[in-house]
Amino acid sequence: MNMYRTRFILIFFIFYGFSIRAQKQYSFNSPNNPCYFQFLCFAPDNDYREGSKPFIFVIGKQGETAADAMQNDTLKNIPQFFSYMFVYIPNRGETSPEKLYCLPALAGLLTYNTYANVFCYIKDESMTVADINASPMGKYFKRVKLLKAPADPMVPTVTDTSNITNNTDLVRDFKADAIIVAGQRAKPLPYLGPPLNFKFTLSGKLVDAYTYEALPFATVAIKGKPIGTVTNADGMFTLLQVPTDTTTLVISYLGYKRTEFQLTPLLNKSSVLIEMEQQLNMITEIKVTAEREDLMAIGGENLGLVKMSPAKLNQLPNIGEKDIMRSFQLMPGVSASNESSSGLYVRGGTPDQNLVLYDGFTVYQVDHLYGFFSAFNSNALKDVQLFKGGFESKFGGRLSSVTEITGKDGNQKNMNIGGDISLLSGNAFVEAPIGKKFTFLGAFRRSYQGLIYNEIFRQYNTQQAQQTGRNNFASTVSSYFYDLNSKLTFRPTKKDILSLSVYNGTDKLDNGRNFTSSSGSFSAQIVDLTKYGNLGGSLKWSRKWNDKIYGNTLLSYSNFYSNRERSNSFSAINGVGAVTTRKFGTFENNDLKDFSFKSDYIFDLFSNHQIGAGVSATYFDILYNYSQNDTSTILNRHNFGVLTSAYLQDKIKIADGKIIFVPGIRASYFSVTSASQPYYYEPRFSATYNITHRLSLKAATGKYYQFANQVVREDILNGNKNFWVLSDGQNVPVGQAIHYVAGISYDMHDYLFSVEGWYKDLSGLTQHTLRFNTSPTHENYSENFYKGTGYSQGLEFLAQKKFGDFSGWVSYTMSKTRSLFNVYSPNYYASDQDVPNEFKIIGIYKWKKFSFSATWIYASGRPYTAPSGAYSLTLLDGTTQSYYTVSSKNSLRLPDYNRLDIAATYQFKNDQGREYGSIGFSIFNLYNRRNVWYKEFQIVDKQIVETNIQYLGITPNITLSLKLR
Amino acid sequence: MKKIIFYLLWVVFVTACKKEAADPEFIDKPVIESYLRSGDTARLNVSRLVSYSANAQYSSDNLDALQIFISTNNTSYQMQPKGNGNYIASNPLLKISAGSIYNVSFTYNGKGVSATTVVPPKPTGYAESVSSISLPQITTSGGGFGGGTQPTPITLTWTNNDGSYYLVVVENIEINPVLINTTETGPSRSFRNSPIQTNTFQIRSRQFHYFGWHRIILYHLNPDYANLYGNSSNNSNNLTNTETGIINGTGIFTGINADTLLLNVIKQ
Repeated sequence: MNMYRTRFILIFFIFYGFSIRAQKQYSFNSPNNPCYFQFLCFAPDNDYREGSKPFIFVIGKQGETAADAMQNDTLKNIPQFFSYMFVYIPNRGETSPEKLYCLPALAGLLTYNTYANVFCYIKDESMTVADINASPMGKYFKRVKLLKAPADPMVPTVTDTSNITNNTDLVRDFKADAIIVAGQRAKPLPYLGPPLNFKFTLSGKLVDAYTYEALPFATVAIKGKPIGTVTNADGMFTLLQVPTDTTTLVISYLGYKRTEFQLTPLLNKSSVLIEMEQQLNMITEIKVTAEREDLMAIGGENLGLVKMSPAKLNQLPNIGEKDIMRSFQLMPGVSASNESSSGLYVRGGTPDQNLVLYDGFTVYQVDHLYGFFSAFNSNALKDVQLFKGGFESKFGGRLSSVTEITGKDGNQKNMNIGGDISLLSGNAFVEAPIGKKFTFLGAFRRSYQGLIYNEIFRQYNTQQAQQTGRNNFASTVSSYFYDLNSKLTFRPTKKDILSLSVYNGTDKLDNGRNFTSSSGSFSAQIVDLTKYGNLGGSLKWSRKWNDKIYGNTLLSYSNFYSNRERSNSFSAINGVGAVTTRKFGTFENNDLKDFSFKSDYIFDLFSNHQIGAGVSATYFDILYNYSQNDTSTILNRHNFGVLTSAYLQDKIKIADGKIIFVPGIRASYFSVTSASQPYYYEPRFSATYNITHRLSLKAATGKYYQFANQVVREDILNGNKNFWVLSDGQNVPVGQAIHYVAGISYDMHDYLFSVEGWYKDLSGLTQHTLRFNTSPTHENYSENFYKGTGYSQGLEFLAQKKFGDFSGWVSYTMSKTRSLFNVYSPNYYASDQDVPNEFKIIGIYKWKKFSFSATWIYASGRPYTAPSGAYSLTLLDGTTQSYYTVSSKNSLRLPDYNRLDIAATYQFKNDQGREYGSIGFSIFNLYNRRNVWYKEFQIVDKQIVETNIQYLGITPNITLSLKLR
Repeated sequence: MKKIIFYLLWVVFVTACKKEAADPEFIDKPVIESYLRSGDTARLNVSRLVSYSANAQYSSDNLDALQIFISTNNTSYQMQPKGNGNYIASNPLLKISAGSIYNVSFTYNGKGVSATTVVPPKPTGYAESVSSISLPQITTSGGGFGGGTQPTPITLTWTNNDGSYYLVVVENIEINPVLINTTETGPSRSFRNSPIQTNTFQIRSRQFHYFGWHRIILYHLNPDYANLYGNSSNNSNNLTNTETGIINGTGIFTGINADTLLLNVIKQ
């Protein structure tokens, strides 16, 4: 066998061919070679492209040439072999070994040594089964047939095919295996025979080829036609009105190879399993909005949809952790200049206006460590998508945008463990199948007080200490963050999936200090403690009822808590030995609980309608307490409320899928405002017009309400803070937005150009400020909530090179976000998050196992308000008091923001080319630009001391990632 | 298609370069300080804001040459400059009286500055629970707290049917007052609490620093004066734009009315 193979490889061969009608003639090797002969190739469909067809070698009768063999062959006329390649071999030599001598070599040549789907049909009556078994033919050919052979099941006899009317057996014998694979592991085997079924419904599931992790929100489309669908959260899809059962599907999923898969009549049309293979050699592919050339209609109706592949994030520069939320900030329309917030500022919206769903439950705060990192561990994530505006009726309760995150279910095939270690944190995960029906995934991450952690912590707290002048105190810093993701998935039947997902993340930031006087009679304790985190979980049941109905029902709990104390307590022992303690400072406690039930259904009842409907109910319990000097409570709110909602939407495709409309309505009942306004209706509408397969126009509009809001508490001297409260319809109104979005995109194979514009009309906004004290002696600070309105408008431009050794994108966003709160000014002023110009350029270059990337960000400075002047008044008791005037609201701007980050990553790959780890080196803020986070002011002797609180300077990081598989 | 893209780009570049007219950081406004006391002459002080910006642009107005008018009952009186920004309405016809509305106006930095106030009525039913208290003198440090029984607080009462603002100011009026706690050095001779909207107030004996006669003044206030309290510390939560009601200016222009009681703090 080895001898054969070695010799074949050494054989020098040449090819030349010319056309004789449909067949092609070739020479195998040079004339003096023992394997020199001429053979014919014949493709009944006249498609001679390499590598995609099964081969049938045909050897004619004793002494027949290749041309004779072809002429006498009737197989080629049978329709089922329409897609095969016939190879006619001359019957050479005298003995069977001589006749078969060179055939494996030729088969190897034609199949690139894969020997996939090669068959042989021998008409030489002198050859026997024993001859075949004695040769290596059986090792290279899938099946060998002898025309006149005994009834041997291994080598079945084939009768004269010229008169066959029922050719089922013949087809079966030469039929290629129905290998349903995608990607490079094995090429899809085409069936190019005549279709047997027309206009049928195809259902299936899309999974990762190695882990069998279901792939959600992938596009499955019919090649060359604007017909397609998107897999649901469990990777399942249903395609209605598939034209024929020989149609080719085109499957795209971010981070995976785009795959074409040809259907055959042999497939089970109700449960096709399609395996997708990750792009092993492709570096980060970040795909924006539109699909590739032949997929324009698919998912393209989702205006402003951005997807990112969590698995590929390690290619981008980072501060210390690959981070999905940070990476989204590199997209047009999402602000990137706010290092201290992992929450997304989308199109003039604030992070609380962005709905973050993790496995179905709402996450109310996504920050770790002052917001430098997000709460999401990318090792536990499978899919993330961001809807930047005009989102569909399925989502509610937010004014701006939606970030939908799907966690991994866990490897269904093998146990896998892995982890990362960086200068910031350690991270480990384990995933495994438990029996045949369960899978488990757990991921844990914890910071350690290494270089980066301390740098960020110092950055924030040293400045605090300087400003308070207390840096001479002994510091007992103990700070960390951790998060834990776990998910147990149970698949009792092929149609049902039950999953329990639990997330817990906590940050503890302690900058407290103690001081004791030398005599021991006096001690002071400075408490500067912030502890916050999330605890959430969901139990989800998904069921594909049949080809046309899919639904999932979810029970969830989400809790966000934040405790902040900045206080000084002084203890003194008085004359009679009693200890007296006095405490000064601020105490803040925010605790939000969300108990939810949701049920969503998708009905694929008609080919041009996809109906979505669902109901949900949420019970809110939101507490906010803010007090000063351990006695005076400034604000103490504890609100409860029930929000119930239902929605109905229809995705209508007309003009052969070129035009898509999605009208929808969402209706909600909010118990808190039941007396004044119990019902809230949110009509929404989006439309897509695919002018050509490259060029499409999209537009969307809709109304949006928000019932739980993060209210900004204005703090001019120390920077604004915010807290969650439930709308009460009075002091804190229900937020409302109307979106108008339109866009145009031109999508070429490698490049994408898109322009999107938006206008958002906002009302029911709330701010809290103590700057205007309407009733100074009242203890009722609820009067200090102020209502306002606003708007945001802008244009986003994107040019992206999607594939190739060099990829990346350039984006520019111009926007204008204005607020109107009469308490500040009768005129509109620039909102806190207003960034008029933002430019981003991201480049990624792949070289062998390395990838190099760089990102550069430029953004206009954000507005702020500052003390502008001082004056003194003599009061009635004769004392003199100083007062301060403040600039017009947000009339000043921080310096413009800019930053360059670079990264290099080396991938470790096994023999199969599969990545099992990487080592990455990145430098954040390469040219050490001291960007300003915010300003703090101290007023000392009528002079103002202004301190720039800066973002991080140059920060290198190294990350090592390894996994078993 | 190309045309559309070029047009859009053109729109972007043109609009992106458009500068918005930003509000200036510092606006030179006059600071007014004027308490119109019933039965008194109208007095007013004008001063300049201190800017935190080195680039502040001040007006060229001379603070001692402003044309300031005070008017009441449709009669306007010009106030006379007395130096250092002080002005007085010396016209004997203008006597501040309770219940009258007063308006002040002048031009500063090219803008009309004006303010209006009303003088509240004199407090009624003002009474104290005792007219004298006895306290021991303290001569050693550290023993000031906790020892001995404290006398009952002095309760002040008055009539307040409309939720008006009142302020109590206690002032030692001895020529040579004697310290209660001899270890203290130079404590203030007066003390006060923030304005309140009740009809009673208690003075604790510990608040007194001196023996002897004290004047206990009860001011009847307008809300704008009350706003001046509790708003001035460096704590940002209290950094307020005090609502002075002065158009194109800041400070205080308010009417007040007061009643006074006496109280003797006797050395035990």
